[in-house]
Amino acid sequence: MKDTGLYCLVLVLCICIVNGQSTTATASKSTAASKVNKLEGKLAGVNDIKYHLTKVNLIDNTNYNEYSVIPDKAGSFAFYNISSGFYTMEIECFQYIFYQYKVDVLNNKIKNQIKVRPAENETIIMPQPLVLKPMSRGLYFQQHVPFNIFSLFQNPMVISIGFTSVMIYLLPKMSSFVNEAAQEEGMVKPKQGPELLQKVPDWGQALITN
Amino acid sequence: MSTTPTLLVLFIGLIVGCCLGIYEEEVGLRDWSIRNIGQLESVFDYDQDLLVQSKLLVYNQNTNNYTNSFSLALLDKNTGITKWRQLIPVQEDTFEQILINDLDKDYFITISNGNIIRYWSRVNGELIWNQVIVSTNQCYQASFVNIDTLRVLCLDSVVFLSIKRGTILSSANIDSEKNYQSIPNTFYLYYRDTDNNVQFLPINYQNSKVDTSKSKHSVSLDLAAGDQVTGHLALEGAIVYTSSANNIHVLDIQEEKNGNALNVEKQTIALFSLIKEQGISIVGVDSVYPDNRFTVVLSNKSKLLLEYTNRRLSVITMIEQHYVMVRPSLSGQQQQLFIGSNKSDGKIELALATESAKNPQPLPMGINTTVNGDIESIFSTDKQGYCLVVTNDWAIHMIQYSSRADEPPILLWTREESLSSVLASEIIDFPLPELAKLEEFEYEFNSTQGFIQHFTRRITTQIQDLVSLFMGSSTDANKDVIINQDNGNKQRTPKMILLTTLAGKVFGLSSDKGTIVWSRYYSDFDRSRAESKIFITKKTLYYPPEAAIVISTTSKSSSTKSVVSFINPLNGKESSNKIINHNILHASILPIVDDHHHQLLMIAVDYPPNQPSPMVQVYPWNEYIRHHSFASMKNIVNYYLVNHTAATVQGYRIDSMANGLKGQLKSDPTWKISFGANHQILAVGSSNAHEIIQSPAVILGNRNLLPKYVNRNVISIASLDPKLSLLTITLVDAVSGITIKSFTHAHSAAKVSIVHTENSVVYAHYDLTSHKQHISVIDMFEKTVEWTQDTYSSLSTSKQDIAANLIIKHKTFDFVQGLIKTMRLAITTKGITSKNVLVGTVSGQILPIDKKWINARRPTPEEALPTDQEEGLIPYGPRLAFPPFFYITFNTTIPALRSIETQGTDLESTSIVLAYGVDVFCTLIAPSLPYDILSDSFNHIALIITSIVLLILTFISKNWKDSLALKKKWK
Repeated sequence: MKDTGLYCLVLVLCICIVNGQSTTATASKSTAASKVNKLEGKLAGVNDIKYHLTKVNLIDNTNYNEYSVIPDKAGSFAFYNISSGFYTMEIECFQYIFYQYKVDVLNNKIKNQIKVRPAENETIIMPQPLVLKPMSRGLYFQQHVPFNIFSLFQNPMVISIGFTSVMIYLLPKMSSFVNEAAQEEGMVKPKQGPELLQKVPDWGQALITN
Repeated sequence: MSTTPTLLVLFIGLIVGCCLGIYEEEVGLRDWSIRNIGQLESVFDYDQDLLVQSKLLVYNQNTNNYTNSFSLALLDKNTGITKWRQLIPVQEDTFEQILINDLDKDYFITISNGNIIRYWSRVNGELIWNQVIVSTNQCYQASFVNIDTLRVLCLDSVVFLSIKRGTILSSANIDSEKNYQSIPNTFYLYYRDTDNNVQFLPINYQNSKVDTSKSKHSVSLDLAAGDQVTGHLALEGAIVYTSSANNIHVLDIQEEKNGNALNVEKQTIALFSLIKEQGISIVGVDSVYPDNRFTVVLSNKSKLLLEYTNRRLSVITMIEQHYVMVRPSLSGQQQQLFIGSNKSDGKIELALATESAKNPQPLPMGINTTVNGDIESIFSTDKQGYCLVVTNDWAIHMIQYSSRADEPPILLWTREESLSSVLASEIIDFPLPELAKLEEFEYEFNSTQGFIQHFTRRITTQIQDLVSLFMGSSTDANKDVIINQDNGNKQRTPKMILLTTLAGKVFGLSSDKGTIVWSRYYSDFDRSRAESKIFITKKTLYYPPEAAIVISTTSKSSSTKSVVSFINPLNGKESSNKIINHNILHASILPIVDDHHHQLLMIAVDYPPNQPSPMVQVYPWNEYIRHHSFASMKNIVNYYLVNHTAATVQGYRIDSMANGLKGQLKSDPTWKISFGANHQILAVGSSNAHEIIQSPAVILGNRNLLPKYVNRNVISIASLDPKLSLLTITLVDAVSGITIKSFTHAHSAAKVSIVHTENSVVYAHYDLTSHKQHISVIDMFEKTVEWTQDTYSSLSTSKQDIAANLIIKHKTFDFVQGLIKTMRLAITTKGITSKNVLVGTVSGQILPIDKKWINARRPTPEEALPTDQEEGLIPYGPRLAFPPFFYITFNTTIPALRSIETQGTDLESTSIVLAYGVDVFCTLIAPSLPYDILSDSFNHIALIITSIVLLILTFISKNWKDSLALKKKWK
C-alpha cells in the first residue's frame, strides 16, 4: 500500500508537471504576441499627399540598417518588433518635407518604452500613436511666378532697350548743346581768324524773289 | 511716334520665357534614370498591362553581402514601360504569395515576410491596408473565402481577415507539425499523417466566427510496404500523390450539396499504364497548370504533362529534360503551355508543349545564349501567344509567338534587369571630334613627343578635320558605335558608361539618354564572390580605346579564378583575355604607358599563397615594357592591402622581376599599421585619380599665399573600437607609411564615408550621443614650400619634416538632411571649377555641397578678420542645411543607393554624375553654374529681338538727330 501511495503521488506530480509545462507553453505563446512592440503613426495635415509614393524609414543609427513601411491609403503606418537601439525616422515623400525624428527603443518587449522625439527639439517626447505633419511643401523645382509688370524692368534686355530709348531722347539734346556751343565758337572764330575770300550771304537779310 | 506701341509689345515679348532656374517640366532634359524591377518571379496579365512580382538583390554594406528584396510593378504590355513600382520594404526577405482578387481584379493580395498581408490597388499601386499577424511569421497561403473574407493559412493557425478593412476577424489554431495545405475552392485543409492517411479538416468562417463543426474526413492511400510518397499537389476537386512505386494516387473530392460533408474517391494509376517507356521512375510532382493539368518529374529528368478531367487521368505529352517548362499562372489564369530550350548553336527555341510535333521556333535575332545566357524561365500571360522569356542574364523578353512556321516569334521589348545590381562603373569618352582631339593633344604636348612630331600631328589633324568637313563624316569615328541622338540630347559630346552587374553582364550605355549601346555576357561569372572592376587602359584619344574588365569566375577546382577581359569599350568586343588562377589581392592602373598608349594594369595576386611577398602581374607585358618601363616601376610603384580581419594595413613596393617572360614581379612589404584585434577598419579613403588640381596654394585676404599640402599618396583609414565606439581617422602616407596625423571621435557609429580632394579629407560619421550626422573636414597646408619643385616625393620626406612643416586644420559640421550613405567628389575636366562633394543619403538622394561650406578654415564669427571676408571665407556655423532644390535627384530617390561616379565633360563647368542602387541615375551638374555655356532656359529669341530693336533704335536716333540738327539750322 505504501508503494502504491508513493506511485500515486509520483503520478499526480507528473501530471501536474506536464499540465504545468503545457500551460506555460500556451501562456508564453500567447504573451509572445502581446510582447511584440509596435510603433504606430499617421501622416496627416495635408489632403493631397500620395501615400503610395511615400515611405517611412527607420534607420538604425549604429549600422544604418534600414527598415521601412509603406503607409496605407489613410496614411497610417506601423513598425513591429523593433530591436532595442537608437533610430532615425525619416519620411520619404516627393511632395512634402517632413521633420526627422529620433526613435529610442529601450526594451523591445515593452510597448511604452519606444520614445519618439523630433530631431530639431529632442526635449519633446511625442505621444503615440504618432501624428506626423509635413514641415513644408517640397520645393524641389523653381516655381512659375505670375506675370508682374514690374518684372519687365528687371530684365537686362528690357533695361538695355529702355536705356537706349532714353538715350535717343537725351543724346540729341546733349548734342544740340554741343552744336550750339560749336556754333557759338564758329561765330567767334571768323572774327579771330583770317577773313574768307567768299563770304556766305546773310540769310536773314537776303531777299528772295520769284 | 508710331514705334512706341511696337516697342511696348516687344518689351512684353522679351519677358516671356526669361528665367534662371529649372522648372518641373524640365526634368529629363539633362538627366535620365533606369527604373528596374529585378528578377521576374511571377506575372499576371491584364488586357493592356502586366502585374509582375520580382526579386531584387540589394547590397548590404555591413555584411558585404546581398539580401533578397522584392518588388511589385505594373508594366505596359506593349512597351514594357513601368507604370508604377512598389518596393517591398527591404527588411522583408521572403515573399510567399501574390493573389489576384477574382471578384475585383483591380485589387490583389500579397504575403511577405511570413506574416505581413497587404491589399493593393492594381491601378496605381496604392496600399489599401496591411495587416501584420504578430503571432507567427510562417503564413504561406491566402485564399478568398467570399467577397468579404480572406483566409490566410499559417503553419500554426488559420486567420480570417476582412477584405475591406484588413482587420483580423478570427483565427483558429492548427497543429504546426502537420503542414496543412488548402484545397482550391473549398474550405477544407488537408495533410498526410504518418500512416499515409490523408486527413481533411474543415475550417470555414461563417456568422462572424470560425466554423469547424463540419465533419472531418480521412482517406488511406493504401501504400504497399516500402512504398513512399514522393510528392503531392492540389488540383481543383482533386489531390494527387505520387509514390516511389511509380503510382499516381488521385483523390477525387466532391463536396455534398449542403456542404456539410466531403466525398472522396481514390484512384491509383500506375505510371506504366500511362507511358510506354520502361526503366524510369517518378521522382515527384512539379507544377499545376490551368484546366487541371500538372507535371510529374521522372527519373530521367524529363517531365510528364498530365491532365485530370472527368475523373480521368490522361497524358498530354512527355517533355524532354532540356526543355524549360512555362511557370504556372497566378490565380489559375489562362495560359499557353510554352516550353523553351537552348540549342547548341546558341539559339533559343520556343514551342508549345501541347502540340504533338512541338514545332520549335527560334527566338528573334539578338536573343541567344552568347548574349543572354541560357533560358531560365518562361511566363505565359494569356491565350493570345504572348509570353515572357527570362534568360540567365536576368533580361526579360516579351515575345509574341505564333505556332505557324511562316510566322516567326516577334520580340516586342526587352528589359535588362541585371542593371538592378550594378557592381562597378567607369566612364569613357566617345571618339572625340577632331578639334577637341587637337585640344587634347595640345594639353598632353609637354609630356609626350617632341616639337616636330607634335607639329606634324597638328597639321595632319587639321587636314583631317577639313576633309571630314567636306566629306560630311569623321575620318576615324568608330563605325560600330550607333547612338540614337534625338533632338532632346543636351550633351554636346556624350560619353560611354561602362557597368558591370551581378548577373555577369557588362553594359555600355550612352550617357545622353541611357541607351544601351552594347552588352556582353560572361556566363562563367561567379555571382557568389561578386567581384568586378573596370579599368580604362587606353584612352579614346588613341583610337581604338581599351578597357580591362576584371571579374571573378567559377572554377571546377576549389581555387579562386578570375579573368581579365580586354574589350573595346565602344562596342564591347573582346580583344584578348587573361586567366588568373590565384586570388586577386589588388588591381589598379599604373601611370606608365607603353609604346601603343596602353596604360599598364597591375594585379597583385596571392601567390605564393599566404606569403608575405605577393606576386604582381602587369598587363600588357612585352619587350618594350620590359626594357623601358620596368626601371620606372622598380622601387617606385607602391601599393597597400587592407586586411579587415586582422585590422591591419600593409604597404608593398615592387622590388624585382620574378618572371621576365610573363611579366611577373615580386613585391616586398615596406610598412604595416596594426590597429589591434579589437578594432574594425570601416573605410579607407584615397585621392581620386581623375581629379585635376589647378591651384597649389590658397590666396589669402592679405594677398599672401598659403601652400596646400598636395600629396596624392595620403590615404585616410577609418577604424573603430566597437567597445568604446571610438572612431579614429588616421592619415598615412601610403608610400612611406608615415602617419601624418590622427583624429578621434568618441561615441561614433560604425559607418564612415570618406572623400579626398586636393589637400582635404572630408568624412561623414555619426555621433551616437548627440544623435547627429556629422561631416568633418581635415585641411592640410604647408608652412613653407619650394616653389621651384614641381613634384612631390613621399620617399624624400621624413616624419619630422611633415610634423614641422604642416598646418592641419579640422572642423566638424552637423548635417541635418539625413544620414549619409556614400560620398564622392564631383570631377571636372580641368579642375578649375570649385570643388563639390556629392553626398548620397540613406534615403537615396544626392546633394552636392560646395567645398567652401565644408572648409576647416572657416573662422568663428568672433575670430573672423576683414581679410577672411576679403578671401571669401564663410564664418563658421555648425549646421549644414540646404534647400530641397539643391538635390540633383530632385524629388526622386535611388533606392538602395550604392555608389556615385563622376567625371568631367567637354565643358569645364559641367560634370556628369552617375549613381546606382536598384535604379541607375545619370545627370549633368554645374557646381559653379554653367559659366561657359548658355543655360537651357536662356531666351535666344529675346536676345535676337533685343539686338534688332537696338539696331532699329540706332537708326531712329541717327535720323532724329539729323532732323534735329537740320531744324536747328533752319531756325
